[in-house]
Amino acid sequence: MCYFVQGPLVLIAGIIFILGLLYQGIQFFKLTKKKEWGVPPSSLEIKPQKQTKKQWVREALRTLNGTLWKTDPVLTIVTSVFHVCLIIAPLFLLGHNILLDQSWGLSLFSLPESVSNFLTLLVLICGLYFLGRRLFMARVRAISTVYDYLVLLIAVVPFLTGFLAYQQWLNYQTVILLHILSGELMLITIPFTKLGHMLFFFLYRFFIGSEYSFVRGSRTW
Amino acid sequence: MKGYQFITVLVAVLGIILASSLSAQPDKIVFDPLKLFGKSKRPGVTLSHNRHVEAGLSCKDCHHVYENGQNVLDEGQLEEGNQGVRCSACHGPKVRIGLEQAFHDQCIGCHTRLLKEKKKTGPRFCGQCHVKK
Repeated sequence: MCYFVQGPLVLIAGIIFILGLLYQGIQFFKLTKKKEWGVPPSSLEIKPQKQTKKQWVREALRTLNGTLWKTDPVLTIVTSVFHVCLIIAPLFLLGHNILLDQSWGLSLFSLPESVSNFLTLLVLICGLYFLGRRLFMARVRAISTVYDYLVLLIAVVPFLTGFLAYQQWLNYQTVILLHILSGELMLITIPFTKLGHMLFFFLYRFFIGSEYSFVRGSRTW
Repeated sequence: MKGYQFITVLVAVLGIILASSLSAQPDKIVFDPLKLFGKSKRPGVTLSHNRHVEAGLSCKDCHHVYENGQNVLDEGQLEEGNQGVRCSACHGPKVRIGLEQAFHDQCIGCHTRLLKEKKKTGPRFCGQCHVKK
């Protein structure tokens, strides 16, 4: 059992993660293939105008006002920090890279462990903020289901167990096994739950952008 | 009666020889990163030499000097205090396999192989060797 979690399951989880994302990506392109509307006359099309750098910056800042930044700056900061740390901490973690090097002979650059520890702590604090929002803000609680809590748990548990393992608090053997298991669970669930926004975030940005600004209906790229 | 005395002396002599050969190997070997690398990313590692011997490993399973892919180490060289047989004698900062990687390869590599063979094995994860005190 221990061997399965440490060895084959890591590979299985990785394969499901990559194939799952590929499948979802292909599905996305398939479903958006059909042109829903005719192409409007080109006179109606809004062509982007040439801008100076100064205009571009002003325009970009103005656009920010239409985003979450204007309505909820705290959440914007928390969620940005959460996502940046969530990606950076595990990728550039010394322990992960040493294990990678041991199995594949290649590894990424590693941050000092104190920095990784700090980033992990930030992920946990942000996760706690998300949990608090769901629990205590009426408008968020109203649309929260068990599924939302579960997804949050899947995202945060690898970091919680990783933090405990680094500090060597509680029983190390159990904590490290839970850490590996929760990481695998996260990889497996990413393509098939709303954690899939890891991929869809980028696709939707283009999709919605093309829906609303290029006025051609459906995916035009 | 004489035969009994002879056996007693023989056992005593053998015992002394065995004990002296065992005492030549300190059981606890401590790898102190501060001494080895001048800096410490993680707590040092304490290794039980006896447990490795008791597990049936021969000296050359771990200690090595490779020439043309062959381990040509002379086991007689393996004495405490012999600087020439220390890992750091070869695995220096300018070699492809540095000291830190040599330690990791040697320990994790062997422990992983045994795990794959479903045999009793040693630790593989950071905190199992680098134990915080």
